[in-house]
Amino acid sequence: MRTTAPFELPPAQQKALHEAKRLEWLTIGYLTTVVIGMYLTLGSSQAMKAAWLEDMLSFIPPIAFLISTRVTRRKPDHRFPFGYQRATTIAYLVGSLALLSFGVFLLTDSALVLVRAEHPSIGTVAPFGEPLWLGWFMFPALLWSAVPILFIGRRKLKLAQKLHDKVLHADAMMNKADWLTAGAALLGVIGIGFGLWWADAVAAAVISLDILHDGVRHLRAAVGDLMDRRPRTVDYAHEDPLPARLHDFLAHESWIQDVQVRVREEGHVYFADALVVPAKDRSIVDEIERTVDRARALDWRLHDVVIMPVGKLPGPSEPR
Amino acid sequence: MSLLTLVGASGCDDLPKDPNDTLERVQRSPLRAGAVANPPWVEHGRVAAGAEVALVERFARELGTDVHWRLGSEQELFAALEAFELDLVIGGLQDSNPYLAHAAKSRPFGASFAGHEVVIATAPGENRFLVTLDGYLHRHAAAVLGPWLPRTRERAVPGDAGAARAGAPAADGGGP
Repeated sequence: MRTTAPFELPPAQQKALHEAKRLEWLTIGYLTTVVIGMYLTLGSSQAMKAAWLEDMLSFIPPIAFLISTRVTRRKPDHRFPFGYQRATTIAYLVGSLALLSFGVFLLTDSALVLVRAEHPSIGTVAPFGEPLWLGWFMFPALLWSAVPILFIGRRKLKLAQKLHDKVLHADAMMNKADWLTAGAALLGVIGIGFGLWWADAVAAAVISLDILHDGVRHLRAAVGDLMDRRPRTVDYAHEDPLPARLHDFLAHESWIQDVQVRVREEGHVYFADALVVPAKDRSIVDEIERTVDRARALDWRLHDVVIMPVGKLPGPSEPR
Repeated sequence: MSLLTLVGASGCDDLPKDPNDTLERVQRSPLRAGAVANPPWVEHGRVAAGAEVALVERFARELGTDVHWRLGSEQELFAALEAFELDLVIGGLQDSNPYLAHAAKSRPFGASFAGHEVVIATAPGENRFLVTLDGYLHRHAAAVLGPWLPRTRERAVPGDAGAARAGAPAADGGGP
């Protein structure tokens, strides 16, 4: 059986990948300190508990990224003749689902608080003997959960563009959700301090809409990737111009009279096939077309058969 | 950002505030307290009596108000608390009491007397009232509970409660 040629990232991208991995480990270490810090200041506040659960969800994208970069390093073999690149897309699906659940969780949680008119109670703690309002301690915990992740997330966004890595992009969006939520919780705690019981929930609900929007966008993109949709840019905003470039390039070749290309994404990289009408030497074309028809007649499941004549096979055949 | 400036301007002593102004209201009209029978914290009977009853009445005195007692079951009194018909509920409530999910609770006290941590439930989200109550409990709980719970007094551990008891005579004379 034929296998895809092993894929190596270009040197610049390899450097970026190395940095991205370091950033993801940093994120995991940092999130651990946030989760511990938040746990200590939870008190009986439902709002803080929700923020804490959301922070737990943020572990999913970095872990998915680290696992997928490990898997994609494997060379194509007879079990996976197309290679392991698509592990990235699966990780992307996982990451986008985490983002979406984050948004759904936050929206339902804050909506319920508003509907039931639950007044958040924040009591006191007495680490130095005299009881002090726990709200004061929530400020540093929330600031710590907002400010560093803001910078980590921005850096990830840059690397995601460079690496054409959507997992990293979804993770950067998760980090954006993290600092937005922490900021909302901060405003919420200030609001509670001023006796506005609904402030926390309203701030969280507003933020959750933004997170939901990102989550839906990324989930659609991930599902589209798995369905071999036309390649789009990492932020999903535009169609990637690369297939058009390939088409134009082929169309300008002197031996090609007409061309159609089809490109799909396999994780970081694209796989393309092109049907071309040769301008001059058409000796082999009829034979190929006949063989394709007969090959398809072998079994109804052989739906799309591409035969490409080559001078020499790229490598030794893997066992069939 | 205007909220942040407000924080700076109003000073930390005024915060947090009560959404329903409980602390201000109880200084004008009686404190509405619920009591669940659970000796020695709240004795059985038709009038409120017991260790925690004394604790709450002393709290009311500090606030310059009276207590309007309502005796009843946990279910009934917690429903009233959640509906803001009561300001607090007592009855030897333990920290893990499931009814506390829909109420606010004070810091635990009384562990050195009865062997387990007891809290007072307050109306949800009335954070100023809660912080005031916690401050009062920190200063006076041990001294007020001491005479009521002598049986287990020898179990007292040195620490918060012991220190507060030692300073009780001076604190008894002073205001909040």
